[in-house]
Amino acid sequence: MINKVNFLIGRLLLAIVYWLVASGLLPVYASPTPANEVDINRDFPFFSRFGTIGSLVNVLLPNVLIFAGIILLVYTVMGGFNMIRAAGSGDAEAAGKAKQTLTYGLVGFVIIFTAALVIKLIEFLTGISIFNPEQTQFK
Amino acid sequence: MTGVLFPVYAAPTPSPFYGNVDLPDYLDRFVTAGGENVAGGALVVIFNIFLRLTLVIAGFFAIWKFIEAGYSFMNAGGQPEKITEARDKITFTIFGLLIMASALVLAGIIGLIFYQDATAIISPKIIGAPQ
Repeated sequence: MINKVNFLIGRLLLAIVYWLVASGLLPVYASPTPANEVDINRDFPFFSRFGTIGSLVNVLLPNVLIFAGIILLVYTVMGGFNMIRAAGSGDAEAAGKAKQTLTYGLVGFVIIFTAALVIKLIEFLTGISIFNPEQTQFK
Repeated sequence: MTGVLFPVYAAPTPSPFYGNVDLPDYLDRFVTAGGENVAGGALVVIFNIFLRLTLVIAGFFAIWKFIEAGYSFMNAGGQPEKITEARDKITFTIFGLLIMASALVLAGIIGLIFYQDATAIISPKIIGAPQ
């Protein structure tokens, strides 16, 4: 138990350090990259336009949220179709399953959007721009 | 907090990060006016065709279920449980049809609430990387 907790705390600290390095808040003094090593700015110019992991997530997040909406639409249609299919077939389980498809589709959508809204709330309350850490201005 | 939640439609014409996918010629008639050069538009057209097909099939299926329910009523012969079953058949078919018909309305409302754009889910746009 203690081992598990220690492991998780260690991973959490590691993730925080990764995040600080990636977001540019923690400067890493690296020597210029030799020619036989990989420099993302030099070798992958496509990804160099995302200055931080935050700005990459910033591009992906709206697409993820829109995809969640599309999935919700698909599940709603699927639930309706299954409800027609289960109509009067005698087994209450199939109708219940169709109802569950609808319910949990909506619940999942709400959870996804709640996650995004919590991030926005934290940004609003603390003034930290989570997805653009370099734009954070402390007054 | 009342402002735009996410800069989903910040760029006027977002460019897709995977390049351009041209729509096959035989699908041109499914493209609505003004949607010719929208990023990711071809995927949306295909998806909408399948959605429309599903709704039409569901409509025929519902008609079939209504007819079946009518036969069930006739063959029930006064047995209460069979009458209940036939009535359930009609009720659930109506519910299913209502849900399927309101799915697009629901998508519109949710798009309006969460994405500030009613067509965000119905004709989604793929947001590309900044140039």
